[in-house]
Amino acid sequence: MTPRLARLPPGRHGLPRDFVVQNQRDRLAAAMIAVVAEHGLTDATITQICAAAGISRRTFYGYFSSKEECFAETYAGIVRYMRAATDAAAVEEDEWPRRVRAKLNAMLELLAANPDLARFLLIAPQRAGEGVAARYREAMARTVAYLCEGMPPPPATRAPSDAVASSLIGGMVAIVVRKVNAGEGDDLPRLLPDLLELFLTPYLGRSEAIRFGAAYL
Amino acid sequence: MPTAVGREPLPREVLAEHQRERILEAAVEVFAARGYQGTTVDHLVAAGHIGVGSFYDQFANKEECFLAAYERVESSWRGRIASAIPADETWPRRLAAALAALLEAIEEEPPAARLALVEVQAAGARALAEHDRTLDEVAELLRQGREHSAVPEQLPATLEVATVGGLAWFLQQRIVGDEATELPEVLEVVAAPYLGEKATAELATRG
Repeated sequence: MTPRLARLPPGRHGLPRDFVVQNQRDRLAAAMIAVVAEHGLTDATITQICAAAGISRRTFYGYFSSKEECFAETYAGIVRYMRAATDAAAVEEDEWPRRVRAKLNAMLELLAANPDLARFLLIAPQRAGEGVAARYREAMARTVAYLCEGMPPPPATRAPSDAVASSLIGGMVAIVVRKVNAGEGDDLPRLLPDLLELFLTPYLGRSEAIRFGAAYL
Repeated sequence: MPTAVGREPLPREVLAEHQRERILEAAVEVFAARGYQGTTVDHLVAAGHIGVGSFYDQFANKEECFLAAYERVESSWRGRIASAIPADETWPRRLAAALAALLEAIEEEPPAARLALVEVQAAGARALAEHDRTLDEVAELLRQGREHSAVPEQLPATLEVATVGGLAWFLQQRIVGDEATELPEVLEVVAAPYLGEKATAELATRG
């Protein structure tokens, strides 16, 4: 069941318009996440989303022209939110592999706190047809680029082939999705050593990657 | 008394089977070209040159038709790959032969590749479950590679899921981008985690 989210009391509540708008948009985003996580993007309806958000269809169309637009904006909002959290987690680390570790850990913690988020971000887009799936693959490629930021140049690291680099993120997503589908989404942070080793191996070589992965067991 | 050959009407089951094959052949092309969600029963009917009634004699709906088309591609590719694997060879050689046969199938049958590796993701829960089962089988075969690793105890438990997921992801992008994939690239993704880079490069050059 999709949870019903807290709504403002109807009628005149004397709240500033900006606040009302923000509140409605936040509720819509939360409703979008919950409904898409449960039903998938293709089967989710605007009626379901509005009901979960506690707003009217008219209000929905005041913000978005379609379900897809609401999805894209919600997706972008989550990515911004996650970036802020992962940046904050990594800011203290001065070594590149440690920053990767801090970012991956922060991502796993966020997804574990709300497994609907993993379904929304990582599972729903692949199933929504090629248009959405193509944008999703681009978003994942940007995630790899983000993890690679600040990587020391060769010879400290090496550049993997195109095939290895692009399959990396697919492999990481596969492990996470497997765990979420098994109903163990709250256990995601346990995957950190595996993900870290998987990601670092092509850049650092296996023994270095294992050294970093094992250091956190 | 023998009847004239070719005059006798074909038994109903033979006709039905023939029609089913014809629809499935057309369905692979249609699903690949329009995507699962962009395909309607009308499209399938038009491409198969059959009536709507005949379609529903064979399939309850679009999803059932997709599942049958997927199964058809999968069993054909499975046979193709199985017959390409040499019996009395080492795991690395058998792996290389299997992957070479997979790449050949992708190159020769682009619509089937699109159906089996891209559209299957969007075709509903049952298609996805079938696809996951296939990927799990591949993961099981990869697990045998652990015997060839210099550091088997260091390989993470999730390595096979990650490797197969990574391979599927990579092939999807090449198929969608209509780009060719070479055996050495794929070996680097699939074999290198087990054999190391040097042995993988040797395997790729010797074939």
